Amino acid sequence: MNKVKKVVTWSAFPSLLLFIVFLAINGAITGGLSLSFFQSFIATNAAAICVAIGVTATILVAGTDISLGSIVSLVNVIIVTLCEKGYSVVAAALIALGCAVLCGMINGFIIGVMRVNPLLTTFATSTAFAGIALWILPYPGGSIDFSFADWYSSNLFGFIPTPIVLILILVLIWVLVMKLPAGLHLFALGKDVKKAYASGVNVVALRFFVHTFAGLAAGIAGICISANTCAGSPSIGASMSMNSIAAAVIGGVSLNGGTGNIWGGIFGAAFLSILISIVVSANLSSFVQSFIQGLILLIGVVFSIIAADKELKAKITGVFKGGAK
Amino acid sequence: MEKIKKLNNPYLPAIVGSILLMILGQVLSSGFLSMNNISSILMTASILTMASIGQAAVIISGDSGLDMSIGAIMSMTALFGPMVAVGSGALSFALMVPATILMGAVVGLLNGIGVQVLKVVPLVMTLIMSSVVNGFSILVTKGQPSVTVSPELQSISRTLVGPLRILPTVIIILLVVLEVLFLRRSRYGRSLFLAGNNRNAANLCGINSRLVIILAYVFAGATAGLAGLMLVGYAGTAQMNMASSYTMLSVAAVVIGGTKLTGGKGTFIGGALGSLVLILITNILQALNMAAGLRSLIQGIILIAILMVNSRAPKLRQ
Repeated sequence: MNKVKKVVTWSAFPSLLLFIVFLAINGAITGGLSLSFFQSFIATNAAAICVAIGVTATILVAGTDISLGSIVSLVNVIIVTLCEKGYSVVAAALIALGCAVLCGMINGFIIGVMRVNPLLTTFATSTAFAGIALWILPYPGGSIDFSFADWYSSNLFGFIPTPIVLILILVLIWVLVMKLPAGLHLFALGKDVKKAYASGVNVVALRFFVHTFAGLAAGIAGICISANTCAGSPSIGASMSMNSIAAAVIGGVSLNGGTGNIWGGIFGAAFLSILISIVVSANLSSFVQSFIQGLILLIGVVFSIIAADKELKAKITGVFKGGAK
Repeated sequence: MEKIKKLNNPYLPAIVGSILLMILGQVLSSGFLSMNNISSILMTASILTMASIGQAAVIISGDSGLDMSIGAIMSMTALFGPMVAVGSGALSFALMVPATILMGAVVGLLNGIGVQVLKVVPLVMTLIMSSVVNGFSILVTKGQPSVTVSPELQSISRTLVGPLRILPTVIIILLVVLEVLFLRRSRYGRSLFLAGNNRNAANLCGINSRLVIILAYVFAGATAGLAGLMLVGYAGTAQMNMASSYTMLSVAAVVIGGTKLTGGKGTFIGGALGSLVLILITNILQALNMAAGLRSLIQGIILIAILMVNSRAPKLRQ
């Protein structure tokens, strides 16, 4: 009983439930779930999941980051342009990743050291980053060597798909940080900045770290999306920032900070992705699609907020206690 | 001492900023301060001002209030507003205004209910609402807007009052009236400030702060609806998502105008000055004939600089 209670009250539980339910619906519509479906699903949506991980990290410290989509576009544009210039794909990807981390550091510096509001800062930097992307590559175009796509769709070590490995890198870094004292400090900072500061938490360093991590996540997302499409577009990540925030909220991450974990972001993003694939595969007219998508998104968020309601939670645990008697 | 205190008012950065930008514009391209250009700058700034008035009301209402659906509402009313056609052109134009205000207000009401009754965080609620509204626009227009803007609607940006066009003049008068009679003097305005400052105190004073905050979202939706109509009257054509950039621009305008995002404080006039700064920046960069990407980069850098000067949080160590 205790384990069930623990799972039900887990902050990422509603999103996990939503994901599983909609996965089943998708299976029913397309006629069964196959391994190849999962492979293509992960390959297409690894980028969204990576961005959601990055955004979740910033939301946990009561911040936010709406510049990640622009960083994704920037990474995509840099990889394409460098490949056209004759760099090897690996070198191009690493340089682009470095740029993404640098972008994250700029965010972290302005928010942490200069103490400017995260939402406004990342809005301003997103304008700047998107501008750089548009400056480098004014029109969609260019191509990347297909060996990149082959590497992306292959399995590493024989059995783990590459996109999953890329996501796991982020998860591993995050889990390691959570094991350090800094992990606890992060949540303390999210709950109450002043109390955390008074208790000796290094607020500036933590904010700087979180945004750098988000930059890294966006960089990896950019690599995923570039490998998946093998083409360049200066606005490829434009819609990702907002969707990732919605994903984090569906995953039970409180925008007030200090509540939730990155699994919530991952499941939230997975749910959103499966939602999009259902709406696409349901053969609706394309004009209805975005409306329905928005409506379901709204219902999902309201559902997960109601699920996180403390009074309701108390009722549920009461039911389980009653059952245990 | 008195003088220094007086100088340190919230409008100061925006006023100094716009004066500096005007001088810079004149230096970089002669003719920047010609009456014609100034009137066109005021025209575009007045559209952003209209949007920022609603944004300011929501930000003042506190509770981390923010309306991210303003751009979507504006895009929607820009598409649907001109579709109103009853009898003569003048009559349908007279009907367009209340129709767009109503459309915006309905979306604002949904926002307010989501934020205050369902307790969804404002940022997320309004973000999702904007994707719903955009989806709705696509659903109705089938992705191919065929909007004909009537000459009456276009005249709001063409008719001249003295050297200025009519719309900025009307907006400036409306702005002052709203600021003084609605925000500062009215019963509702005072309760909005109190609800934004301290909700518990407001509730104890017998103010239904939930209703007050919901009404702030309705007001924001209504002003955004009107701003959308102004935009389409100015542009002459309507496209899908044509106003999406206005969401963050309106937030930035309000913040540059000296309003804090924490709520409980703020002015409409500050938002208007902030709009002027933002429009001036865009206008100067356009006058220099820069590539779109470079322009956006410089815009971002200037915005960061303004934020770093203007809205740094106080030090944690006290």
